[in-house]
Amino acid sequence: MAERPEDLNLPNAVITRIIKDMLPEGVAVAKEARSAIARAASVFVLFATSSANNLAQKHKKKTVSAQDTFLALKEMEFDKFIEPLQESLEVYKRSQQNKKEQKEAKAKAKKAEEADKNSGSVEDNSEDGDVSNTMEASLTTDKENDDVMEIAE
Amino acid sequence: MKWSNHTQISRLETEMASPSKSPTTQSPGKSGRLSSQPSELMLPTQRVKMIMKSCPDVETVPQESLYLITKATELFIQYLTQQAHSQATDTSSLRYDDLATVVHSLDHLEFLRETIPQKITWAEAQKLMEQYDNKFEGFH
Repeated sequence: MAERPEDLNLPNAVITRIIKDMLPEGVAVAKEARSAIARAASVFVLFATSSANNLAQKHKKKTVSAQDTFLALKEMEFDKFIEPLQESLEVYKRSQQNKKEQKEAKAKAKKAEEADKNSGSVEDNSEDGDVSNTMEASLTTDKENDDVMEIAE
Repeated sequence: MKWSNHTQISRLETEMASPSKSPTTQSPGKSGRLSSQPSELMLPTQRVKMIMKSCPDVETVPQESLYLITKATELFIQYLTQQAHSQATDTSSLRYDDLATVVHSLDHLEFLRETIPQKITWAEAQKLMEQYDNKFEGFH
């Protein structure tokens, strides 16, 4: 597969941002230094990926698991990354789960709405059930806006 | 009273709108910690995925591994920056040579020595070439 050289580069703007955030204010970052770091970052991705992939293949697996990635980082002597990465991964997994639940709740509410329309009757007993579904959906979305809600009061 | 409430809300909304500056984030450089962003990524995962796939034998890249490698790379950029700057003689700037020095002095950065070679002056290069020529005298 032919890849254009720029496709294997990471965006300069983001890399510059990360570098600047790491340094005290006012430190000038030479263009050559920034491009060296950018190249190093791409090489890091390759190195980490191939190490993790080798570990996966050793265990006869086809895909690179999170476990393989952590072990690879340990092999590369980047142990100090493992703990912050584990924490970040936990938060990431939770937010992915939340998004999934919100999506499902919305779909459920929409379905209930449509069922409501189809039934045609406004005084159905099922209406109560529908209302609680829509309330659940709005409760989960309101959670995110807690801070804003407090100030509004 | 109402007006100040309104500005507070709009400030919070703008903070929440831009993912890289959530209210809970402190600037890593100021506090010295490696990374204080909980789970937000700055690097684009699609680009990282492309680099990963350019590795031979890599087939599918699961979501979790992609997240981890992307996040690890961000930590790596921070780490490399911090290390290079900490041993720089002139701390008001970050120069190429600072990177080259740190890569050639830390063992676990050995994999970067070809990517960030140390620079030598033209005079030093000439000297090396002369030595090389002398070595092979008589074999021309």
